Order: sequence, then C-alpha cells, then structure tokens
Amino acid sequence: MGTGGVARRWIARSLGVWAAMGIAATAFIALIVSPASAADAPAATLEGTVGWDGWIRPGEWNPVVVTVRAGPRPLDGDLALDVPRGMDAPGVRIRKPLRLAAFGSQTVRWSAIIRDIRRPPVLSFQVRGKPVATAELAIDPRRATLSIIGVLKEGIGGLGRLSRPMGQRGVAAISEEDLPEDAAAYTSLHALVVESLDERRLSREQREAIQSWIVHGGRVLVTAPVAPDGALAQWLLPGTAGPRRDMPPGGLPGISRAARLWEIHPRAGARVVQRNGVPIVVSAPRGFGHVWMWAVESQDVVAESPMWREILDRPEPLEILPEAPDQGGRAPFGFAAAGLAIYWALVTSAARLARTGAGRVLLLPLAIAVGAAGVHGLSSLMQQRAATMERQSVVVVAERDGWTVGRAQGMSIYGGPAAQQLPPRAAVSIEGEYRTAQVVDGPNVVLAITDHRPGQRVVVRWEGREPIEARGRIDAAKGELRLEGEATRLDNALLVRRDRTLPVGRIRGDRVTFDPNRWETGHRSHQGLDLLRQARGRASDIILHRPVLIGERSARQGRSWMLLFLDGE
Amino acid sequence: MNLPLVAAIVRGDFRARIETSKGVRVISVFTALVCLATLLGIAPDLPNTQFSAVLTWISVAILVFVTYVASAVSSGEILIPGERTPADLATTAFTPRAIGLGKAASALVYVLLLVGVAAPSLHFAHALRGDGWSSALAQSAVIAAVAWGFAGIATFLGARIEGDLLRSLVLWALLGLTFGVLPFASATAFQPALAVAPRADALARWVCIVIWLALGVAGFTWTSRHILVLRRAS
Repeated sequence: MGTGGVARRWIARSLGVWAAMGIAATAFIALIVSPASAADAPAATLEGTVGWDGWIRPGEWNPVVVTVRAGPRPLDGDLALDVPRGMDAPGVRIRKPLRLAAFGSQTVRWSAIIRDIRRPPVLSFQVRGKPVATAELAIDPRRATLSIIGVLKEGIGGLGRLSRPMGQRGVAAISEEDLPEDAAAYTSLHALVVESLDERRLSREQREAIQSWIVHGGRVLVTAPVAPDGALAQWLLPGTAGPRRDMPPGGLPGISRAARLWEIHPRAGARVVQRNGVPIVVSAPRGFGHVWMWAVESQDVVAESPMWREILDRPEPLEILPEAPDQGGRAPFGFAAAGLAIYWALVTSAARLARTGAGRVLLLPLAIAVGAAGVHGLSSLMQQRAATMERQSVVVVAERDGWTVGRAQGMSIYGGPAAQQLPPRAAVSIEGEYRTAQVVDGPNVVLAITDHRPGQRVVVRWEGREPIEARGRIDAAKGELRLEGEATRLDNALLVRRDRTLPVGRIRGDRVTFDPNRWETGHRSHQGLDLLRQARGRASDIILHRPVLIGERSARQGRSWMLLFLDGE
Repeated sequence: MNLPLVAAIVRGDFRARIETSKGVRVISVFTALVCLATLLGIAPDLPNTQFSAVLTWISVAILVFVTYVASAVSSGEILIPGERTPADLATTAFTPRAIGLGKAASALVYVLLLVGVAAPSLHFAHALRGDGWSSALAQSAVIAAVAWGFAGIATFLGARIEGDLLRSLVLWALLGLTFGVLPFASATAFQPALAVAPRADALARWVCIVIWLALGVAGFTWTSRHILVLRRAS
C-alpha cells in the first residue's frame, strides 16, 4: 500500500472520529445549555398597575390591572394580590385561579380598597401554594388623593390646572384600554371627562361597566368633538354636535377666546345652558348619574368657571357607617354537656361490654371511632350556634341595571373559618379583626373566606353590578303600579315619591293598586334604604329624583332588598 | 428476645386493665374527667388574649390525666386485680429482659388506649375553634410519649419501692415537679406542659417526645436490671 492510500484511510477514519465528536459535542451542548436556558427562564412574569394613571383614592375601590405572562412551561395556579391594611393588621388576599399555556398571557382586572399607602400591594403567582413569581404594585404616596378626575384622551393637556394641591384632587390621563371592566372601580372617579372615544377599543364588559356606573351616580363630561359613532356614545350623549361656529365677538364668560366652538343641539329631555345667546352646555340625567356635553373643548374652560363647578362641586358623601350592635353568640353549654355525656356513656358501655369476651375488646376502639365522628359533628353544630352572621344586601335598579351593595357581619366566640358566597365579579372588602382573609375570584362566584379571631367581628362588604330583570311604572293619579320581572315578588314594600311614602306590603303579581289619597308625608325608615344609606351617604338623594319602590326580595342567604327606580309620575 | 413471653405479659396486663370491673371503672372515671375538662374548655377565649389560652389549659389537663392514670396503674398505686407487678413477675420464670419489654409494651398499649379515648375530646375543643384533626393528633403524640415515659419511671418505682405510701409520694412528687413546678420555674419550650400547648413549636414537641421516650426506655431498663438484682438477692 502506498503513502497516498494510508493518508486517505487516515483522513477517512479521522473524519469519522471528528464527526462523532462533533455530534457528541452538539448533543452535550443541547443537553447542558438548553435545559439550563429553560430553567433560567422565569416561570411567569407579572406586571400590574393600581389606580388611575397612578392616582389612587385610599379607602375607595381603585382599579387594579394585572398582566400575567407564562414562561416556557404552561402555568396552572393562582394569581394572588396581597393588599396590606395597616402595620399590625393582616391584609386581604385576592386570588384568582388561572391556567396559561406556555408563553401565554392574560390580563386580570380587579377592584381593591387601598388603606395603607405606605405599603404597596404585592402580586404573586402561586403554584401549589408556593410563589413562582412576585412583583410589587407601585404606589406613589404623593398621588393619593381625595378626588380624581379621569380624562379619556392622549394626556391630560391643559386639564392639569384642575388638580388641587395637598392631595385634594388629581387629574388622571386614561386610555380606552385602562378603563376597568368592573363597575365598582369607577366609583373612585369624581367625574370622567371624555375628550375622545374609540368604542372599537372597548370590550363589552367595559361598556357595560361604564354604563352601569353612570346610571348609578357617575358623572361624565363629553365635549363636542366626540363623535356619536358607537352604541355607548349614542346612549351617553345628551345632545348632538353640529359644525363649528365662530366665537361671538365679545367672547364667552369663562371660556378662552381662542377656543374652538361647535354648535350643539339638545336631545329630548336635555337641559340647555346658553351664554350670550349661544348654547354651550347640554345636560341630561342618566339614572342617578348625569351627563354634560360642552360646545367647547374642556381645556378651553377656565377652572373657576361655573361650568366646571356644576360638575365638580358635588360634595363628596361623608360616609358614616354606624356600627351594628354585636350580637355575639353564647357557648351552648347544655348542648356540649349532652354530647360529651353521650360520649362518656358510649366509652363506658363499650368498656363494660369488652369485659365479657375477647373479641368484644374491639368494641372499645369502635366506640372511640364513633365518638370521634360524633364530637366532630357536635363541634360543627356548636360552632354554628356560637356564631352570629348577619347578611344584608340591597340592589338598586335603575334603567334596568342593577347595582348591589351588601354587607355580611359575623362573629364567633370561638373564632375559626367562615365563608361568604358573593355574586360574580363583586368587588369585596374585608374589615375587622381576623387572622387571615382572602377573596377567591371564581368564574361563577366570588368567595370571601375569613379566619375569625374569637369574639371579634369581621365585616365583609361587596359592591358591583348585578344583572337583574326588573322594571316598574307608577301612575300615582290612578293609584296603579305596573311591574315586571323580579319586582313582581316583593315583601314589606314601600312606595316613596319625593317626600311622601305609601306602604304597599306584599307584592305578588305585575299589577298593584293603591289608594292615591293614602300617601303619608315624611320619610318612613326602611331597612333596605337604611342599609343603602350606610353604604352610600347620599343614597337619600335617589328618592328625590323619581318615585321609588323598596321591597324585600327572597334571598338564599340573609336578607336582600330591592330599590326600584320607577318610570311615570 | 422471647416474644411469646413479652406477649404473655402484655395480654395479662391488658386483660386485667380491660376485663376487670376496676379496670372498667378506671377507664370510665378517666373518660368522665376528660369530658369534664373539655366541657369546662368550651368557655370562649377572651378577646385580646392569646388565642389558645383555654385550649392550652384543656391540653395540659388531659396530659396530666393520661400521665397520672398510666403511671398510677404501672406503679401499682391504682392496683388492678389480676395484674402482675414487676415484683410478682420476678418470682416467675420470665426473664428480666422479657419483663421489662413486656411492661413497656403493656404500658404503651394502655397509654394508646387512654390517648385514643381522650383524642376525640381534644379534637372537639380544637374543632370548635376551627382547627382540624392534625392539631389534636400532634398534641396526642406528645401526651402519649410523656405518659409512656412516666409509666416507665412509675414501673421502676413500683419495682424499687415496696412501701405503697412512699411510692405514691414519690410518684406524686415527680408529677408535681413536672407539671406544677417546672412550667413556672423554667420556660424551656420542650417541657411537657409547654410542648403540649396547641401552638407549640414542632421542634420543641420533637425534643419533648424524644426526651420522654428516652426516660421511658431508661425506666423499663432499670426495672429489668432491678429484677435481676432482686433475683440475685433471693
């Protein structure tokens, strides 16, 4: 064999060796590097915001928006938000079970009451009870305020001048994507200024939430350039905007001379305000709320103008929540004595019987097992007897839209766990002395789970939109009430019309007649209205606007009232 | 180790403690005391005090009852007809080692029976406060270890001290020292009265269990050795 042949054979053999080494190295790198990269990648990333453009109202429902992004592996666990209450008090955990595909993401929106602005709420994603990702929701204490004006446009522009120092008022720039899907979250807004609105960027839930908030007391200012090109704007606008017009030579009081001016025309039922013969404001009520439409852009109206004052000078309700008396349960001594005496008799009898035969010795452990099951049941019964739970709610129905405010107040002399089943999407706050408290945001129900301290009261409050089918029309002159839906089954009903009341009693049917001469002067106290007043200081105003029917509904848990806003006079 | 001999001692003791009217009376009175303590323990905890204050007292009471009954029966302070004391067994063909092991096993069976009878009551007091079975089981483990350890020492006292009065005095002195003096004199978390508390530290509980199991082993070993001494002397 020549030298060339040896060289070829050596090269051929070397190539094989080098190829094998190359494959091995690649496999090694694939084995070592790839898993390391996957392991290094976070299981989830969390991003979130609280409040309106960073502005928050302590003690009120503030919107919380959280985005969870899964890492390279699917996620199955709970998204948790721990909201602190104070230095020494345990906070509340809001929890939502989530399942995400690898690299999937989901946005979750909640409402949360922020009580301690010094300590930020903490987000975490928990898998089998262990956090795999955590993040803090930043709170700027300088942005904690008593009043927030939301401005729906790109930036707040000249509206910054409406803000007031010392935490009196903040102006927040918001976009369509920032709008909460939870109606309760809007209650932290003093007013919403709509400078532009692209309804295509709104979800159905956002539209319903805004509408519900307005119907139940929200205040909205829309300026003329907003085009009524969507269902929400059509419902919202109290007037229509025409072409631009020239500013009168002498200008308009409180409005910049350089302002652009539009023609505005009121819709039926709207009120028009003119300045120097020019219609500049059109306004109309929407349920308990109100909508204003201006012929100019909001930044062109000076902050001290009566136009702003009409919207902003609503006094904030001073919420005074009278503490319901504690009706603490008592230890059912006799009940326990009877149960324990039975257990003693059972063990003694089994021991006596065990004497009579070797096999009967097994009776003793059997008696202990039966006794253990018995005392467990006895303890559950005693816990119920030793605990008090008072649950009340009122649903205010206006324009076929229900808004529920509820309160469940419980106390157990032994403490221990308790759970409240609440309507889906309800915003929940938990107050009082407890060891732990959590709100589980499920798809069909919200659960408030608390672990009470012995003898200490825990109050669960909830609020939110409740889909309800109820409607009513009153003809006071004829003494007739026409009702639909759930309003046809009410107890202990009371009609309220301005400053007069008329007891109706039990309602079973769609038509109720009453004596038009039996109206009584002066407001009668009613538990449903009293409860609403506790939750909303200005609830009495509701009955000044239009006739109202208050009645008790049948409820699975506790007591529930309906406050129905009636059509007609 | 001769298991049949050990089993014979266990069977004999267990029959005496279960199948005699005095044995049944002991169980009946013990159950009544435990139920009474539990009944007093349904009183609610006072607000602004430690959550487990009442539960701690019930737990200590049940610990004392189980420990006392187990050790009194083992030492012969509560004499059950038909039960053979270590001194009685010393005159038989049983080996000292089998006697020690047999007494240890019979004490264990009896302690488990007493703890089994007390556990539902203990759980009742826990369940009222929303706790699960695990709390009562963890406490029961401490109670069983302490009671068995004490039973070992009591068995040795029964074999070592012939006079009934002196034996009882020593036993009561040890009980008083363990449950009456130590908790106030020292705050070591592993002493029984503190380790049995509902919110006791898990490590303290384990230390307590290990200490009292070791004391029990020592007690039963000393009993075996003492029987050997007795036989040599006779």
